[in-house]
Amino acid sequence: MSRANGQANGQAGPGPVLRLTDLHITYRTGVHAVRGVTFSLAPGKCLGLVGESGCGKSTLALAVLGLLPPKTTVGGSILVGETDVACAPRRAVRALRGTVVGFVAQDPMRSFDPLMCVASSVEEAWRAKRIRPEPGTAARVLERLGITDPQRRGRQLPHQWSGGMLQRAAIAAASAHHPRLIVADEPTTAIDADRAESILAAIRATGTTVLLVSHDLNLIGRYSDDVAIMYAGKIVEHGPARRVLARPRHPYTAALLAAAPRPGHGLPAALPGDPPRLDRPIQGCSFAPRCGFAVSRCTEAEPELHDDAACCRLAEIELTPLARPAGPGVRRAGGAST
Amino acid sequence: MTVAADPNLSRYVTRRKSRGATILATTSGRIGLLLSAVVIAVLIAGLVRGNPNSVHIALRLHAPSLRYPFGTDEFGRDELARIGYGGLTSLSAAALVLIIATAAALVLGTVAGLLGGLLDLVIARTVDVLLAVPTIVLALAVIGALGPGFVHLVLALSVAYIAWFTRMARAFALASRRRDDVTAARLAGVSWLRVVCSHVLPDVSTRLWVVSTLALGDIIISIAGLSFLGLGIQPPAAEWGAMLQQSLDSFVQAPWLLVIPGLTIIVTVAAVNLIADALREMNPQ
Amino acid sequence: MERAPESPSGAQPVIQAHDIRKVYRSRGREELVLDGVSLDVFPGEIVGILGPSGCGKSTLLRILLTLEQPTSGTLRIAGQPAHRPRHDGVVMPVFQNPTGSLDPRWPIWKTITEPLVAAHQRRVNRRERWRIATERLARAGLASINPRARPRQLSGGQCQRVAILRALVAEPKILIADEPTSALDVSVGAGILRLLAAAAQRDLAIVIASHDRNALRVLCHRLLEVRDGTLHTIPAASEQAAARPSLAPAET
Repeated sequence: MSRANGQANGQAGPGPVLRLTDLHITYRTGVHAVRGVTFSLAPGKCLGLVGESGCGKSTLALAVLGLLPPKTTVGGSILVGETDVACAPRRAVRALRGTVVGFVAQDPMRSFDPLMCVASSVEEAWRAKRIRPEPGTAARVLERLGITDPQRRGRQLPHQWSGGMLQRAAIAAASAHHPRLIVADEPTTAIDADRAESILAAIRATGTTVLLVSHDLNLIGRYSDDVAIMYAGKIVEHGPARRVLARPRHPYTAALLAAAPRPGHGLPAALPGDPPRLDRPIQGCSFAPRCGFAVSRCTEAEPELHDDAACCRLAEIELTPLARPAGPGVRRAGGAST
Repeated sequence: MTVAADPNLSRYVTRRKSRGATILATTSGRIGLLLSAVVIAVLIAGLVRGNPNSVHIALRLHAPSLRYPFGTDEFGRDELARIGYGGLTSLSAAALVLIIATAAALVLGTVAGLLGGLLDLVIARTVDVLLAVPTIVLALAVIGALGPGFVHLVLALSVAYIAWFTRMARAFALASRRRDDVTAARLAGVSWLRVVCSHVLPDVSTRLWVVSTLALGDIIISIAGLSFLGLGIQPPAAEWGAMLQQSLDSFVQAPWLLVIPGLTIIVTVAAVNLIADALREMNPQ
Repeated sequence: MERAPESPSGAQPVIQAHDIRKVYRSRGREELVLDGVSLDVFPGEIVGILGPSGCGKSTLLRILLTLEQPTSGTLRIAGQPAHRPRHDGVVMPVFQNPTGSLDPRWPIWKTITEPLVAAHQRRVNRRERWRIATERLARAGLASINPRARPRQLSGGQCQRVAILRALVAEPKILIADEPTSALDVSVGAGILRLLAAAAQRDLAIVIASHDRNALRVLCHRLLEVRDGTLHTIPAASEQAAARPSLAPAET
């Protein structure tokens, strides 16, 4: 049944599953949360979208699902298969959810109705599409995701399950109809660190194309094929995960890596300052005020993504985040002065 | 490391908006203020017309006209003037009830919530008992014991509403006690009294006022209701509820005597509720 | 007994907990949260407590803060038995939620210097409080913040630093931090870790609980884990601490 659904909603064809073109999202309050994002996601791949609070990654994830609040201005296009979510009618977007695009939210404790047993909640994925699930369907998908004794446990209430197990149930529900894309918005943030990796492994094990949103570059880098770093509503670096982690090209990526504590390397380097306000137009490079490599021309024009990173000094600076500096900040290339 | 001058200040610096501006920002606030303006205009128009109790038998039961925009009642008294003075009475009584009940509840609720123990038990259970009785009935009991009149009306309704407000104040105080900044202050050695006065009371007070203003409309209706029953403001003093009661005898001949006080009560209560709603939206906690 | 091989300053332990047990009774059921926890912490030591949520580390921290009494066992804080809550500024907390631990109505200069108006402190007037607050903010690299700002005008990281400054202003002997960086971004949390490390250099004992193993590894002298209600030492933490580079006291 679900297989037939999958085929009907945009074949597993060769084109990208998700394609964003010059996406701009401005909230009703005037906050310009996403300022021109372009990328595409090939079938079967996993893109890790990494950034800190306020960078626009969650906004982007919600936009792909068509879940932005009313009166939010959206420019550009969000192509999920053949449908442009940015301008398609609501009914079309609603038809996509669950069947073509699955969603895994941040806090599993809040994704489940506390008064409904877990199996029932999982089966809602079918009932929402007017399909009557066969008895034992929930138990079957839960078992596939590593839940032992699913028949008995499925009858329990959410508060009797651990966060990690609930998140697996959420993944089961999200992949119920074998969607072409799963959007996971910080799926491991509310889970204890030692369980986090198994959740990510479970998401990847579904074999679906995944858009993985997170603030943890190191963790996501290990489970994604590609990584895109977001800052102040734009992507500042985008490349293969392994390369970005080992040899970042943008100063912000390097700073993020330097800020994560790594045993044996002393205290992590802090990134001073705050991200810029997004309710006003930004002058020049959005990262310049906090960048250790900023020169005067950085405040003139905002750099575009070029050769995997959006930095106007790409060719001149050399970033080595993994060698710990004696003090905070990253090492300057010789002689650079502002 | 030199940092380029930042034209984009931290996004966390927000401008503080003045209270008035924010009320106007909400739809309920706008409509509420509009209706209040209407009510205030009517009240002022009534108050400037002179004595609401001067009787002119020759002019009794005149329909609304240019001379008497709201007509005259069965004693020939100017209805507009009576609406004006009646409003003054009702609204001042309501304001008094609100202030007395909230202030008393603030003290009782904070003491109960913070001290706990026997005092809390006594206060909380007393409140529970009082809450089991409908407001009007409670007020009736007090008036029955003391007799009717403005002062006793205010007293009776204050007693009725204290119970409700105290329960809320107690809940706010309990929540306040668990706050992290209170814990940190206590661990630092700041005295309980100081912590209560500088952290707990302001917090409980603000939250209590936001909630109790929601009851103002209810209070106005209670006052009108008790006066309608003859247990509040006594004739010949003008009061909206009492005017409703008096209009029953002659409302076939003079329907405006029923409609006008009734409408005034409705519009006033609506205005008060909408503004209280807007205030609540401004204070999301 | 968990004891560091050599205490950094050779003095008496400032926290002496012996065989702490904590049982919660609710609805006729008993839950054993802590089962014989013993811990000695010396001045200048940073001790990390690791463990998943719900394992009892928050309970242990609350007991060390003297906010709760253990069901059995002894606790001595700064040499004195802790039968009742300590209200003398010897033990100060840092909480997980930065904005929630500051009074939303108060400007931060007032919040930071609040411990100075405690009964046992010498009297300070407003001007002196302002001066002290400005000085501490500058020393913590927050000179760009307006001391008259309110918490809602600050970011989460800035609020947490304000909370730490408040905890440190009256020079406590012990700082108890319950997941201080869990609600913050990584780059912001890094700054908090550095601030805490700088504070410990003045003979302050810090006990910090977190589920972030790496953060505790780079910050703490000793790492302990709560498992089944008891504390277990995690080895190889001390050699990380020895390799810690010296750091500048202020952030740029």
